[in-house]
Amino acid sequence: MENIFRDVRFIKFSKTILVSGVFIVFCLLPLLVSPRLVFFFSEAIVWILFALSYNLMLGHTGMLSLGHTAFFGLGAYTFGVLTRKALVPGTTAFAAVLGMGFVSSLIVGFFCVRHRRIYFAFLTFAFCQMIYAIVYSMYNLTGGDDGLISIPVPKIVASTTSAYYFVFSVSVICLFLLLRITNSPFGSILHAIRDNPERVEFSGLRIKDFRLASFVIAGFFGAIAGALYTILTKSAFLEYFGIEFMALILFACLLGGIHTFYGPVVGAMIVVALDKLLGKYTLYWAAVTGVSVILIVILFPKGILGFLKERGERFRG
Amino acid sequence: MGIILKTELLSKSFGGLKAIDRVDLSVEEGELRSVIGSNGAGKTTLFNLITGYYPSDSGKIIWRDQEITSLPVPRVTCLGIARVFQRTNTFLNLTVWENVMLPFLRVRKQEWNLLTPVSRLNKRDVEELVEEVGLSEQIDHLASTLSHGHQRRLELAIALANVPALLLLDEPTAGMSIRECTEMMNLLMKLNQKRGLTILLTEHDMKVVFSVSQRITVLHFGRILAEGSPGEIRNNAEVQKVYLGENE
Repeated sequence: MENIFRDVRFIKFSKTILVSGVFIVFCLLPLLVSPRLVFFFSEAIVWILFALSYNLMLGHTGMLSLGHTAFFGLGAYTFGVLTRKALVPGTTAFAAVLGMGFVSSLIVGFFCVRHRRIYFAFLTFAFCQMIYAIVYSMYNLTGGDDGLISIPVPKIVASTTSAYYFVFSVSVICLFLLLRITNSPFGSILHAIRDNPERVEFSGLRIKDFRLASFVIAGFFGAIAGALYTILTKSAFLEYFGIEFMALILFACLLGGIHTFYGPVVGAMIVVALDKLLGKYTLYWAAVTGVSVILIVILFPKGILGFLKERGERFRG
Repeated sequence: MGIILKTELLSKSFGGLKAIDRVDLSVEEGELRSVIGSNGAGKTTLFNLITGYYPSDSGKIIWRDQEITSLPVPRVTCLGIARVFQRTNTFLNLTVWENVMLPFLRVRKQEWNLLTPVSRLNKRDVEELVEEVGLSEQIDHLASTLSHGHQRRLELAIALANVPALLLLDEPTAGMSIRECTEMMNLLMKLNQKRGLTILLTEHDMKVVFSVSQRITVLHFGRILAEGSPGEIRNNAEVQKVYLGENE
């Protein structure tokens, strides 16, 4: 009996069953819970997508960015401004978000990826603040400090349930693509860059190109997450560019485990739950989050899934 | 056989220290050449210059009639110069298979493949190479769990996966037992003779150097002191005085 748990095929089968189970539950969710909870899960799904996009850089490539929220914000505002101010149809606005995510991350990444560690982190932060300042200053277009509200969305995604299914479908496609990327030859090179960039260069690979590609892919999916959030909330605010939001996403990744693909999924779910539940009961929810970060870093430095994975490997010998 | 690698008046200083001083070196294709010298003689710096890891202050590096003096490391590697470091340098968190697969991805032009799972790639050439260096049994082991000797072999396999024409080995037997050392040198001689691979190595163990090398270059304070066959170097009075004499 014990041998079954050590069998690789059994482990793969269990993983498939678990992922399929979660997928089915999410598919049926609007039929099972109240609209309020449906909205909560829609938000959680967007956070999951955003955390996954961020973790492609952080966990898989070893690049600590402090400005990834810039792409979330740009995605949100591109969709918001185009539909609210330019009266562009939602589908066209969404296509523009894809272009904006790609181009903006390519430009920012071009300047940032040639630097490493703390210099990279602060450059990304600086770019994010620059974009924040630009969005803030363009009051007529972006609403400045007030943000954009009552953003029109296509009728097909206007209700909570339809918006949920739209967000869920797009996120599943993105999750699948991100999973394929991390398991691909390109993904292996990202992991190698994270572990030993010098050896990668001596394998004839220009790490700058791969770091830039990782940055662009992360920014692209980050912008999609931003647009989905705008579709869901029908609003866009300057807080999306803030360091607090960045810190929460970083926390979500650390909590779940940055060296596992599904770690940020678990982390984002917990962070959204903490954010919503604790915010309801106490004004000091940020303090509780802070204590949680300290405990996680001390007790589970590899995050929840990292810890479970390690335990599982130890059990299997 | 022509000249595969040539340096002309190559120099590199660190502050006031001349690590490499106007070095003229010519390596013939298919040759197994050793570069010897006491600590600080400039052996590793010479390798760092050839591979593009350090920029030179002056002089030229010519690879098959093409100047490569200012090329970055990846470009130099792509031209066919691979390197094994003095301190073991592998991907510790990856398996032996993944370690060796990485350079192969570039060679097969699959480094930008974003959608095919790695598990579906052809493993045959990786397995053959891993077998050649004697790590077949450890193919699924993490590099971090290998013994020192096996890690050195793994690094050699990573270098060979680049399909090089010239292999630079910086003290390949450092920290190895006598048996591991003999096995490694036999492997290098086999690679040199059967594959026709040009090998340039630095080594402190003089027994190893004199038993495997076809030619030897002696560096002393960044300059070439002598060059010749093992017999010529053994009988060179200057070399005996400044280098071999110190060991005896």
